[in-house]
Amino acid sequence: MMESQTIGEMRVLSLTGRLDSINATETEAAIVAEIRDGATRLVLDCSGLTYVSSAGLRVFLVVAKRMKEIGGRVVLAGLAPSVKEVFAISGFLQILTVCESREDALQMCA
Amino acid sequence: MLARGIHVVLRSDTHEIRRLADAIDYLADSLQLPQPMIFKLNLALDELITNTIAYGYAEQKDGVIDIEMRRHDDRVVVKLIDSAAAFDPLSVLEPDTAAALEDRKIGGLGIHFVRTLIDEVDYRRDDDRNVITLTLLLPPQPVTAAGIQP
Repeated sequence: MMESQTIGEMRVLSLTGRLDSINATETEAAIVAEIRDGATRLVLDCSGLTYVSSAGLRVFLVVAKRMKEIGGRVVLAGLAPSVKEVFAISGFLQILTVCESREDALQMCA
Repeated sequence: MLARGIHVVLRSDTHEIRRLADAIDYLADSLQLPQPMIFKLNLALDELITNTIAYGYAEQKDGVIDIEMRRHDDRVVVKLIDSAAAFDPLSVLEPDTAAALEDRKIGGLGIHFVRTLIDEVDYRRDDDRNVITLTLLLPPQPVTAAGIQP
């Protein structure tokens, strides 16, 4: 479900498969654990994410709010068209930092 | 022309959403539904069912949700029927999708998706059952057009 990689001062988390009411709580806890562990620059690579529901969106909202509180930065990358549409309908493209590619996100976050 | 479709009975357990996704894939394959419609169907049904399980059935796992999907010439009609407490999803307030990050709340987004993605949404209380009917209009060109042939 989630792979973690450290590149310099950045933590890159790759999300795969579906993010819905079944695994949202678990995924949120895993990302929050990375932040507690000291990750203040976070890239969420969503290129392997095939589906997001409102329960899944909550995860991104919680993480973004948490990062804002601690003065950190979170950048999302690689949203598939259907996933991006869910973000767009929700107005999340305006409140989150979203890049086309993982490389762009790494630059943005550095 | 005869309508074609499937009938799925789900238990009121969120894990059933994945089983429903499989059923939608099956229907989409056999009836050649366009990809954007599969996405809309999956998301709308996921959100409605998650609501029914969480609020209507109050997380009790012995409830049942009945789903009928039918493909007609120009549309797909889906009926969700449950025996949970009366709940009209259309009564949920629209979220403020323009709010700043600090003020954003997650509530109401699921129903917002349903309203946004589905062409017609209808709710009625029928005896002691909730009946939600979703209508999705198919794109005007025939789905057997050359573009989607393998």
